[in-house]
Amino acid sequence: MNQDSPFHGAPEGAPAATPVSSPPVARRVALRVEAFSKTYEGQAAVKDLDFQVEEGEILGLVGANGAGKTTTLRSIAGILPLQAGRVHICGHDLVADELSAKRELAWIPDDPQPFDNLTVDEHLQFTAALYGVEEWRERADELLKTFELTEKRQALGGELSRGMRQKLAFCSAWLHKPGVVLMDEPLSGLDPRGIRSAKDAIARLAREGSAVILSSHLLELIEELAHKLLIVHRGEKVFAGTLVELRTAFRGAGGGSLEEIFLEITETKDP
Amino acid sequence: MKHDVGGFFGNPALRLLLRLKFRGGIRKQVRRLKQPKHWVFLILGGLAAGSWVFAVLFNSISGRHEPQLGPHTLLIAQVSMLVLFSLTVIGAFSYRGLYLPKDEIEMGFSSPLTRSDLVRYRLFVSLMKSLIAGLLFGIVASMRVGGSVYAFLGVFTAMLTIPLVGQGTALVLGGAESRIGRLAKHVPSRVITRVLLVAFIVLVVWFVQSDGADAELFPAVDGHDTWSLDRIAAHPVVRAVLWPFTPWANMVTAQSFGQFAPYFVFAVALWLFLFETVARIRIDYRELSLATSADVARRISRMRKGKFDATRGNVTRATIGWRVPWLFGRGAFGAVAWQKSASIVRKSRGTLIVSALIVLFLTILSTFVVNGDDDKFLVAGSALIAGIGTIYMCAGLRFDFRADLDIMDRIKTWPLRPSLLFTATILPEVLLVSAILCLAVVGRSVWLGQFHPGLVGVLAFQPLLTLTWVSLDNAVFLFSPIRYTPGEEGALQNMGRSMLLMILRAGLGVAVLVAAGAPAALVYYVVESTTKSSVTAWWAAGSVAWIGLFIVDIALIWLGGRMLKRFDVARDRPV
Repeated sequence: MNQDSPFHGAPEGAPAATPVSSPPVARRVALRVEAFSKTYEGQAAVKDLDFQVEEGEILGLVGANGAGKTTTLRSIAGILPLQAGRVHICGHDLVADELSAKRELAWIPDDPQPFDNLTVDEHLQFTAALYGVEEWRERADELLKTFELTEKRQALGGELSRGMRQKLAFCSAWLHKPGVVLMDEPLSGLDPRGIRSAKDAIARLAREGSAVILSSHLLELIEELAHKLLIVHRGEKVFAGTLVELRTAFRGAGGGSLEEIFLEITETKDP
Repeated sequence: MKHDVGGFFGNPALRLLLRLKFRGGIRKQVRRLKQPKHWVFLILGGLAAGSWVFAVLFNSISGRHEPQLGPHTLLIAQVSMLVLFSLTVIGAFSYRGLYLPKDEIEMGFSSPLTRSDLVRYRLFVSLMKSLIAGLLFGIVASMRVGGSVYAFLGVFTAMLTIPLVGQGTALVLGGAESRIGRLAKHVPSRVITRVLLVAFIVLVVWFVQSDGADAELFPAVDGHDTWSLDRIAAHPVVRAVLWPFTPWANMVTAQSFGQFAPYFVFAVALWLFLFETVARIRIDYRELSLATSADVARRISRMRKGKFDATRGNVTRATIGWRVPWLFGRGAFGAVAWQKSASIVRKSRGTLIVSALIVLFLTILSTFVVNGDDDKFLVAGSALIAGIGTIYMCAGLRFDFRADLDIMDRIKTWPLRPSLLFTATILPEVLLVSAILCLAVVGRSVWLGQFHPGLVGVLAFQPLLTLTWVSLDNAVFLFSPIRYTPGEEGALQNMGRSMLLMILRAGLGVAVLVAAGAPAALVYYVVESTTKSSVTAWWAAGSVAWIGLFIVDIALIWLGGRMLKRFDVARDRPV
């Protein structure tokens, strides 16, 4: 969490948010999205979306291709202009107080593009300068170790494999201890060890107080890590809540995996 | 996006990024030089570029172009500035908003950076790129007016002002597009460029047509009322158009510090004003920049495949329903050739335009170069169309491995021997080029109403000649695929590498000609001396040459297959 921010992270020693079966205790809202809509040339990509993520909470964003997940994440990240609605990041309005909001934010795209001619170390040096992290070296070392990039610290961005680019994106995103982390298909391209490290790191990030939005088609991953779910279909919210609530809402006492329920929801919603 | 103005030099993190990128670029070049071949490329490229610069400078200071201030120097300087600024403004139609490369765009927009910070950062990047051009053009201009430092500074400041004008125009156009919305999106930049081009041509025609006819439009200068540079320059419209470029032109022609200083102060002040103004333009360019960056990425990808060829064109929607013939059977070979044929059919509009232009050019060229009533001139003209046409058509169509560079990993998995795969890939283009050129040769003969038996020979050689060139060209391409696109680093090394490849192509071409032509020459000599009939000797030599070329083609296809097998997707394919 950014030290200079008016928004402070979870108190030291606070209980970590736990996955879907046991909802997290009430915390402050880190990300609030209100009435968000987005259209492309008259076609609605996202319609009137409302949701919020509390600190220390992982929200699984689930939807079919073209459901509006990436558009939502890119709009929250400030990559796309906010057409309609409001976004608050750690108490800062994304439009009115954009820079403060972005200082609390980290964005990990599905295909990170590092600078071809910069080394891994220089990427972290630049990120530290960008977010004003002064004592970054120690944290960078720790992150490089976590993601097994220590030996690659002098490698150029253009020389990194897909998985290593992803790991570098994690390190850069984690460096300034963001209040909100947005991840679009974060595990694509990672090897099994990388996946394990990433999962642990995401869980730890949440324990440290960050709010995480995890968009993925890997429903087992969502089931394993997310405390809450947001299911979108054709740009509209069809469910928001915990997996227990999802099961209750759609299966009664019948149970079933997230995959089964997701397929059922999206099928019934299709014309 | 936040519109904070920020300091003149922008965000410190972006300044750090600029430094790191600059250092990284140098480091990358140094790392490359660990391989001896890159030294060779660098030396060759350096020699080529150095000799060009030397030639330009020598040309400027030698007697051929007397370095002095002529009566039209001011006008020429103004017109040069007008051309440079106009090209920049027209170019801005293609880069609406703020162009950010793929590694900067998402980082830039999602980070705590102001819009102004990003604009300043990109302006500094553009200015760094303009420094070399500014130095070079400045030196050339200086030499042309007798080594004047003022001319150098005049051109140098102009060259550093141009990127500001370009970026400002791109942002303003972006803002207009955002406001006008969908209407502007449906007017592609090329339409606007063409409209401007047509307007320019109309203007020139108007000037020429008005020659001497309208004394009001073109007042006589010093009593002369014929068409002249002075008369055009004296026209009020021309004067108005050229007027904004007066400060830089006056610097170029300044003879003393007193003449130079006021304009220099003005130009520097204007530069500072423009820089700050452009950085403060309040436009949310994010969506435009995303679209522009994606568009540039597509263009770069197309550039890597080739230059200005038909494969770069869009698929013609009307052709999607057309049946593409399986010319070579339904097996693996036929399938590979079919997908290439489909590409030709789908892009038939571009193919037809390129072909028609080339054939028209060659027909006109052959009429001027080979001109006479003798039937032999008909054969010579047709041979010219066949020979030069093969090279031009193959460069213009490019339905070969250059178009497939992005899918080489897939191609490598296809169940076909490399030499067959090579043949199947190039065969549709060979047939297409041969058919078009044969039609051109026959068409020209019909148009002229002449015939010569030698035409049969030209037609018989055409497909083999095309196969020779396409297979040779593709074999060399697969040996060292082009990776370079304008604007990338390593321009000198690429120049050296391109020179080596050109020499390799030429060397192979000569070897092919010798291999096919030497036995034919020998046969001609023997037959001619024994039968005393040059006609018989020509036919005999032609037959041997045809067989020789056929054998050479088989060898080239084998070579192409070897090069395809050698092609390493991890090493040779551009990322």
